[in-house]
Amino acid sequence: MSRLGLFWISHLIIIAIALIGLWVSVSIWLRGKVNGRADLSVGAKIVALLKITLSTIFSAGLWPLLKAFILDGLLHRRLFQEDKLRWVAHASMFLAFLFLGILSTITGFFEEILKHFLHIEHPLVLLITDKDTPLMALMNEIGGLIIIFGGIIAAVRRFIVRPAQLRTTAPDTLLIVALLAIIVTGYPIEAMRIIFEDVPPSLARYSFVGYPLALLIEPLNWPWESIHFWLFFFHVGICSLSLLYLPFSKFFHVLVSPLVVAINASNTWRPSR
Amino acid sequence: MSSINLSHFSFKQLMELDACTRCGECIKWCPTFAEAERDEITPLDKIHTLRSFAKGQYGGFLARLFGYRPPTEESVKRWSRGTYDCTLCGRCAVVCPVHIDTRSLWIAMREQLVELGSYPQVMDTLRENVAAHYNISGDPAEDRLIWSENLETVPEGVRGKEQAEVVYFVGCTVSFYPLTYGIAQSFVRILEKAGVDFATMGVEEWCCGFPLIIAGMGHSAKELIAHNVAAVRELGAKTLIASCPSCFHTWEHTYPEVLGEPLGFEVKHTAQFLEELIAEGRIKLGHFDRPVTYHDPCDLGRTSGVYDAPRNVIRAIPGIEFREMADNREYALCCGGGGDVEMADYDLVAAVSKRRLQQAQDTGAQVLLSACQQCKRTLTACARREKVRMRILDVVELVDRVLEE
Repeated sequence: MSRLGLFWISHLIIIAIALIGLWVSVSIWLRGKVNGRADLSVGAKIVALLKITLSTIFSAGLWPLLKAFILDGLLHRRLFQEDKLRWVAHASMFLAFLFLGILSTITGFFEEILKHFLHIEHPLVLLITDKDTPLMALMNEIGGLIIIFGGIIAAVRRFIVRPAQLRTTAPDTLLIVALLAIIVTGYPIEAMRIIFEDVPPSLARYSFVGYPLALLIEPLNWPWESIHFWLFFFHVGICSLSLLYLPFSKFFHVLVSPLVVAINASNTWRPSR
Repeated sequence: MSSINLSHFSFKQLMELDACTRCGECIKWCPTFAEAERDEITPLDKIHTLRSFAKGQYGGFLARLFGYRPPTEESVKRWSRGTYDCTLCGRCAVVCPVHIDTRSLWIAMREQLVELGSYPQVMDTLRENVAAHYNISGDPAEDRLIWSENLETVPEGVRGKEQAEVVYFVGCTVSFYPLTYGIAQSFVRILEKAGVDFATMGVEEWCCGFPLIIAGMGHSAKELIAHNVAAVRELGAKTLIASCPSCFHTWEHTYPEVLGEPLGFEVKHTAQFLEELIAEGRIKLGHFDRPVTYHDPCDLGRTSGVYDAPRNVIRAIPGIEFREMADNREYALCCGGGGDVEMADYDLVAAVSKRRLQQAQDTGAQVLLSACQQCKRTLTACARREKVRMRILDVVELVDRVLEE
C-alpha cells in the first residue's frame, strides 16, 4: 500500500469513528424532551426539532437568534465583558483555528477533488492550491502564530497563574497540548516542503517562519520529503484524533455552545423587561 | 447501581451539558460555593457529573473508552448534595459565557434525584404539608387569613368577595410566617386607599406549587395549579398580583406552560402594581429622609427580569436617598433564602445572608428594602443574629408607611 493510501485509509477510519461519536452524543440529546414530550420516538423528535428550526428561520425570531449566534456564540461578547485577557486568548485560538480549519478544508477540496480528481485547471483552483502565493502563505503563517499566542496565554493562565475557579483535569491539559502540537508541527512541515520542493526565495520568504526554519535545517541534508510525509501524517493524525475525541471532550463546546446561545436567545419567555 | 432517566431533561438541556467549557466563571459567582467551598456545589461540577452519567450510561464503548462511567450510589449522593445546596439564584446563568440556562437545569436535576430517591428527606415533609394543608408550613388551611387578624379594619376584599377586578395572591410565607405578615397588611391598606376593587382568595388560596417544583416534585404541583387558576377565574379577575416573586414567576410562566393555555388574566408583582398606582396618581407618597438600599430578589430580578419597577417605586418617594449595593440587578447576590436550601442546610443560608447583609451595610443605608417575603425573613433573621442595626422592609411596607391620606 502506498503511503498516501495508508494516510487516507487510516484517516477515513478515524473520521468514521468520530462521526459515530458525534451520533452517540446527539442520540443522548434525543433522549430528552422535545416540545415538553419525552414519549416521542427518535424519528418524531427529529421531525419536531426540524419543524421548530424551520418555523424559527421563517419568523421574526430569526434576527435575534442570528445576532446572538454571531455576537455571543462566535464572538463571545459576554466573555469580552467579563475578562479581556481571557477573551483575547480564546478568540485567538478559536477564531484563528476556525479560519485555518476552513482554509485547510477549502484548500484540501480544491487540491484533492477539483485539481487531482476532476483535473480542473481554472486559475482560481491553481491560486488556492498553490501554497506559495503570498496571500496563502501569509494567512497560514499568521493564523498559526495567533493560535500559538492564544495557547500560550491559556497555558500560562491554567498552569502558572492558576485562578481559583479553574479546575484542571488531565483532559484539559491534553487538549491544550494537542492544539499546540497541531500548530507547532505546521511550521517544520512548511520548512521541509520549502526545501524539497525547492521553492524560490522570492516566494518562500512569505512563509516568514517556515522559510527561516528551512534555511536553518537545510544544511542537515536529511531526507526531507520522507520526514515531511511522516510529520505531516503525525500533524493530520493529531487533528483526526482530536476530531475523534471531540464529542467526548470539552472541545465539543466549540460546536455546541454557539447553538445553545442561539437557542436560548430565541426562547421568548426569558427575562426581557 | 443507579440509573439515569434523561426524560427529565429537555433536548436543549442535554445539549447544554456539552456546551459547558469548564471555564469556571460560574464558580466565582456562586454564593453557596463561596461559603461552603465544596466542589460538588459548583455549577461546573453538577453539569459535568450529569454529563458523565449520561455518557457513561448511554454512550456505549466509545464513551467508556474516554473514561465516562454510569452513576454509582456514592456519586449520585454527592451530586444530590451539590444540587440541593443551591439557592437557585441563577447568577451562574448571568455570567456563563455560553449562556447555559442553569436554573432550569438544576430543577430538572432535582426531578431526576427525586426519582432516584436521593434527596433531602425533609422535602417529603414539605410535600406532605402541601398535600394535607395546601401550604408549606403545615398550618391548618383555615388559618390562611391569620395575617389580617390584627388589621385595624379588615377590608372587604380580605373578608371575602365573590367578584373582583384584582386578586391579591398572598403566598404561603406571608400567610403563615409572622415576620412577614406586615407585607400583606401593608399591601391591602394601599389597595384600599387607592380604591382598587380587589379580593384575596382566602382559604381557596393554595400553595402556588413553586416550593414543590423547585424541590424536583413538580408533578405534585399540578393539582394546586388547576385549583388556583379555577379559583381566580371564578372571581372574574382581570389581574392577579403576587407579593412573592416566586409565586409571581410561577403564575406568570409555569402556570400557562403546565395548563397549555393562557391564564386569561394578567399577572403582576406588587412592585409593578405599585409603580402603576404611583404613575396614575392613585396614591400619594410622603417624605422619607433615611438612606435606603435595595436587594433584588432572585426570582423577581434574574428569573423574571423585573429590576426597574421596585427602584421606580423607591425613587418616587420624596426625599429618599437610594444607594445601590456593590452587586445589584442581574449580578445581585442571593440572600440565601431560595432553593429550599433553608430546609436542609440552615447554616449555609445563614452564611450567604451574612455576606449580603454586609453588602447592604457597606452602602451606609439605614433601611434595607426588598420585594420578597423570603428575602425579608432571611435578611431579618441574619440582622438579628449578627446584631446589625438595620431595618429590613419590603418595598410595600415602606410605601404604606409614607402613604398620604
